[in-house]
Amino acid sequence: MISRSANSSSTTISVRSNVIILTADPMMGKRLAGAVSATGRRAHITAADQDDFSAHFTDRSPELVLVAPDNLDRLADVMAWRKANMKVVAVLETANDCELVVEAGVDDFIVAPFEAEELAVRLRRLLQGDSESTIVVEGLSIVPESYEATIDGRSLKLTFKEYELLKHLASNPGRVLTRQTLLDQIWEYDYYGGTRTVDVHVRRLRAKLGSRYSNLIKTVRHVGYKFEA
Amino acid sequence: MKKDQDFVMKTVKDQNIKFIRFWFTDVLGFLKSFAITPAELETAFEEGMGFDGSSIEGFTRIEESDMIAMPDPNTFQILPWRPTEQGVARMFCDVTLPDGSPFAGDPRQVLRRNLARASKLGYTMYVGPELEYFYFEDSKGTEVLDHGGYFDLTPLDLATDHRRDTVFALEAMGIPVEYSHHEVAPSQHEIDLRYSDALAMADNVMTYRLAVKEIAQEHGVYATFMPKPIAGENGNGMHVHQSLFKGDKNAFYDANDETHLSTEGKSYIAGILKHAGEITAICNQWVNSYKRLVPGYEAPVYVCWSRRNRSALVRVPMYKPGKEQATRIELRSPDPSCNPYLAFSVMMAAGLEGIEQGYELPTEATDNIYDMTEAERQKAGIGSLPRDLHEAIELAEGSELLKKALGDHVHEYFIRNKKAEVLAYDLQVSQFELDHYLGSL
Repeated sequence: MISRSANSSSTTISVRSNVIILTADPMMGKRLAGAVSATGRRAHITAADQDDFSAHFTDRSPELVLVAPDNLDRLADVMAWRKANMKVVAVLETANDCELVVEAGVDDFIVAPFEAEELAVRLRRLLQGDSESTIVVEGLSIVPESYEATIDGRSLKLTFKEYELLKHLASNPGRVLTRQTLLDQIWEYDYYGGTRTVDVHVRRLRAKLGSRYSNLIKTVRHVGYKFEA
Repeated sequence: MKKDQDFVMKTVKDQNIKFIRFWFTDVLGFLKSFAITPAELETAFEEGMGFDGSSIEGFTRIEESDMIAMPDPNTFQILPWRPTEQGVARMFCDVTLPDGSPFAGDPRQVLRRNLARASKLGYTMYVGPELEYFYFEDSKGTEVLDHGGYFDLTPLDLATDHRRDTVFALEAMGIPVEYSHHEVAPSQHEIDLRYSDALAMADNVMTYRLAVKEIAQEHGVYATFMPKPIAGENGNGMHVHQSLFKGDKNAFYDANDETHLSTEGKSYIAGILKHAGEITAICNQWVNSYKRLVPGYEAPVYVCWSRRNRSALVRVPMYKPGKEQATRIELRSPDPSCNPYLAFSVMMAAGLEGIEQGYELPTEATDNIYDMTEAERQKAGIGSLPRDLHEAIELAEGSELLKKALGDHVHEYFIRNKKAEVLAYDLQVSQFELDHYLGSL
C-alpha cells in the first residue's frame, strides 16, 4: 500500500482526518464531531448519498466511522467496505434497532439523544481498543504494546502479520473465523494476495509456535480457523 | 502512524537495528538499495525517501529524475547474513513520483497494476517458482565444486552446507522453502519456494537471489543464475507453477473434466501458448538465455502443453485426488535471471487474455516432440519459441499484449535496451568462429 507523502496529499482531501461521520443532518453532524474532537481526532462529515461516499473508504484509512440515524440504511455498505482496524459505531433513534446493528457487526452503538461526554468516553475506549490487554495461554503471552508473542518469556520473532493473525484468533477464542474475514481484518483492502495468503501465514505461525502450542490454532475444514485453548 | 509502521519502529529499536536498507528493482531485474538510519525511519514512512532515479536502469528520463522510495512496512525483515548485534534490516519500496503517483518504470508497480486487473476479474494469482543456479569456485570461470547429479547426496554433493545455510536464511526471512536438492548438472542446485501470492513471491525471488549469492560468498564460492554458463550441460531454469483462485476456490480446477482443468484453466494455458513468443523476451531476457532454450537439455523449445511430457512449454502436473487446491500449471521456459515482477506480469497477462477472449486449448502433446519432424510438428500446430534474443525482441516490440502489461514506459525502454544488447553481441567475434574458420578459411 502506498502511503502518500504529507506534502502531496490527494487533491480532494486537504486535511488528514481519520474519522468519518455519515449524516446529512448538520446538527447531528456537529454533535458527533464534537464528541470525536474530544478524542483528539478530526472528523470528516459526509452523507452516504454523495458520490464520493465509497471514495472515502478507499482514499483514506478511517479508523472510525460513525453512522447517524438518517444514514443507517447504508450500514451494510459500510460493513462491506470495512478494513482492518476500522471501528464502526451506529447512532440510533430508538433502542429497538440495537439488535439489528449488533447483528450487522458494529463495534458499539448509542441511542439519541445522547450526552456528548458519554459518546466521547465510549469512542476513546473503542479507539484504544482491546489492544492494551495481554493475552496469556499457559506459557504463551501475546503482548500488544510491544507487538510481540513470547513462549516462556522467549520472543517468537513474529512478523507483523503473523502477530496480528495470532492476536486476532486469540481474541476470539472458540470462534471460527473464515479466511476471508481474517484477510479483511488483517490485510489491507488493496492487498492482492487472496485467502490462501492466510493459509501461508497460519502455517508459518504454527511453525513458530512449536509443537507445544501449534495446535491452539485449529483448522476448520472448508471454513477457516479457530483458536482453542 | 499506522500499526504496521509502528511495529517496524518498535522492532528496529528492540532489536538494535542500525541500518534499514530500502530495496527496489530496476527494469532489468537488478536489486537496488540504499540504507537509512533508524532516526530517518519515521519521516521515511510519512514522506518516503527521495533519490535520484536518473542513474537507475530503465528509470532514466531527465524530467523524472526526482523519485521517492515509499517503504512497504509489510516487507520488513532483518537480514540474517548480517551481524546479529547492531543488525541490518530491509524493506521493499514502491517508487513514486514526488506528487505521490506510482512511477511507471517501477517493476513492482507494473506487477501491482497487473494484479489489480486480475483482482477486478475476481482472481488472485499464486505462484511457486523453482530457481536453479550453479556454484563455481569464483566469478572468473566455471570451475565446478562437485560432479554430483540429480538428487545426489554427499559426498558428491559438496555444496550441501551452502544450500542448507541458504534455506535457513530464507526461512528466517519468512520465505518458506518446499524442496532443495542437487540438480542434474555438476555443481547445479535448486531451491523451490512454497507458493505465495505473486507480489510477495516476486519480492521473495529478489531476496532469494541475493541470499544465495551472499551465502555463497560467505562460504568462499560464487553462485550464479546465468541461464547457460556451461556449454553441454543443463542451463538454469525457473519453472513457474501458477494458479488463479477466486476466493477459496481454485479457478483452474474442474472435478468433472478428464484433465481436471476448468474452462478458465484451459483458456489460461491457451493464452500463454498463443502469446508465448511475445512474452519470451521478458522471461528470457539475455543473449545467453537462448543458449539454454535448445533441444536436449530439459528446457522447452516447442510451444505446446502436456501432462506427462516434461519437454513441453506448459506442463500440467497430474491431479492427485483430494488435492484440488494444488491444481496448477507450470511454465517451464523462464530463467532465473529474469525480472520476476515483469515475468509474473506478462505470463499472467497472456493467461488472462486467454480467459477473457475464451481461447481454445490446443490438443495435448503426447509424443516426444523432439522426435517429431518439423513437418509433423507443423501439422500438429506446434510452434517454436524464439531462437534468439533478436527474434524475441521483434515479437515483443510488436506485441499489444506486452505493451498493455508492461506499460509504454517499460516496454519502450526494454526494447531499446535489448536491441543495444543484441547489437553489442553481434559485433563480437566468438571463440567458436576463430576455432572453426580461422584455420580453414
